Amino acid sequence: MKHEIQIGELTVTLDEAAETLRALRFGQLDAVVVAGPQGGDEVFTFRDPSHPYRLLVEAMNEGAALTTTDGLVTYHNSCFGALAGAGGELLRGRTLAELVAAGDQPRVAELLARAHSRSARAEVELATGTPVQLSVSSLSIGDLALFCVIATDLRGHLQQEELHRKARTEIEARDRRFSIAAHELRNPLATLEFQILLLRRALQSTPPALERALALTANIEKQKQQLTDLVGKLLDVGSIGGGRLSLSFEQVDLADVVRVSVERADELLHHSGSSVELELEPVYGRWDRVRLEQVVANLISNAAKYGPGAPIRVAVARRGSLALLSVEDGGKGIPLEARERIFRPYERIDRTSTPGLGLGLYITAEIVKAHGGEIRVEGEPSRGARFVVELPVEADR
Amino acid sequence: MSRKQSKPAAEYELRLYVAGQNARSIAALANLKKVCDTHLNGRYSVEVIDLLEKPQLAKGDQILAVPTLVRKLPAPLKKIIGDLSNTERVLIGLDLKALT
Repeated sequence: MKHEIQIGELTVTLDEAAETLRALRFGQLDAVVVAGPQGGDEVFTFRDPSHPYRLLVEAMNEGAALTTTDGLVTYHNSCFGALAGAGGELLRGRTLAELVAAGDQPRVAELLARAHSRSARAEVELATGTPVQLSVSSLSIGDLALFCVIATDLRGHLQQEELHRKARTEIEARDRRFSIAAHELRNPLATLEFQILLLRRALQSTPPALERALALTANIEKQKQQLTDLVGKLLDVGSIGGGRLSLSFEQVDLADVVRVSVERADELLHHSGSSVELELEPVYGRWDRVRLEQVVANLISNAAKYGPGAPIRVAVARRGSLALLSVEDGGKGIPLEARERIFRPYERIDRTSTPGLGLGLYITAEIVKAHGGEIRVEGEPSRGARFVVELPVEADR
Repeated sequence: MSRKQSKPAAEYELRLYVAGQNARSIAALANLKKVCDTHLNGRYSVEVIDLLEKPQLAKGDQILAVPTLVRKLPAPLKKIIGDLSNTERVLIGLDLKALT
C-alpha cells in the first residue's frame, strides 16, 4: 500500500517534469523559477516581461521619465521627448535642469531636493518654451533610488484659463454697459415724467393753461427725441457688434451732407452758443448719405458739447483720391493718450462733467471704417480738437 | 493582481502563475476566463499571481515554470504547464472534458 502511494506521487512528479520539458521545448514558457543564492526563489524571464507596460507608458498623453536623484534622465517616453524638444533623440544622459528654461533651473533643483522626502510639484517652463507641471516622486529599483517624473503640458490649460478670463471680462464689461445705458435712459425718462405731470396740472387748472401746455408738449417732444436717439445709438452698437451695419451707396456730395447736417443741428448750436464756419468744396463719391449725415451730426454735436460758445470750423476738400472732412472745435482738446481710446465703445474722456453713453465717436468711427475710410484726431492737446475723416472717393469696395 | 469570482461557492479554485505580461499571457488569461465561463458557469474562482512581483509565492504550489495553471480544488491538485491558448488542452487538464 505504501509503495503504491509512493509510485502514485512519483508518477505525478514525472508527469509534471515531462510537461515542463515539453512546454520548454515548444517555447511555451515565459519564465522559470530557480533557487537564489540566499535560498529564496528567483524568477528568470525568457522574454521582456515589461514590454506591455512600456507600451502603456509610451501611449500616455503626459511626459514620463525616470531620473537619478540628481535629475539625470535614464529613461523617458516619447511624449516627454516631444515636450523637451528632443526631436526623436533620446535624452538619456541629459539632466532635468538642462531641459528647462535658464530662469527655472533653480526651481528644478529645489523641486528635486523636496522630492527626496515626499512627492513634489512645480510649474516650470521648458527650454522649448512649453509651460509644464513637473510631478516628481521617488521610487527604488532594488537598492537604486530613482525619481519618477511626470510632465504635464499646461498649454491647453492656460489657453482655457485665458478664455475664461476673457469671457469673464466681457461679461463684466457688458454688465457695465447695461448699467451705463440704463442710467442714461433714466435721466430723460425722469424729466419726461416730470413734464407730463406739469402738463396734466396745466390742463387740469381752471381755466386750462393751454399756452403752457403747448410749451410743455414741445419739451416732451424734445425728451422723446433724446430717448429715441439714445435707443438708436444702442441699436447701432448692436448692429456693429453683430457685423450687421449695412450701407446703401449712392452718388453723394459730401459738402451737401455737411450743409444739411449743420442746418439740422441749428437748435443744438444755438443752445451751446457755438457758431459754425463752413469751408466747403463739392466732393462727390458713392457713399451712404444717411450714415454720413450721422457722422457729421455726431462730430458737430461733440464739438458743441466740448467747446460751448467757441466757433466750430467744418471743412470739406478733396485730396487726390480722398475726400477730407474736418471738424474743429474750441474745446479743451483731447490728451494724446486718449486719442485712440475715444473711438472705442462706452469710452469718454471725462465721465463726470459731460453726459452721454460714450457711443457717438465709436459709431462714427465704425461708419467711416465701413466706407473704407479713416478717422483720427489732430491738433495740439490743449487747443481744441480737430477730427479728420478721410473717405475714398473711388468706391474701393 | 488577482481576480476572484466566488458566487456561488467556488467549486473550482484556480491559480494562474505568470511572470509580468506579454501578448501570450494576456491571451492565455482571456482564454481561461472564456473556458471557465462556458463550462463552469460561475462555479469557479481564478487568482492571478505575478511571480515577478511576488517570487516568494512560487514555493507554495512548487512552481518551476511559468505560465502554470493550478487547480487547487477540486482535489486532486492538478497543473497545466505552458500554453493555455488551446481550449481542448485546458479542458482536459482541468478534467472538464467529462463534464461537457
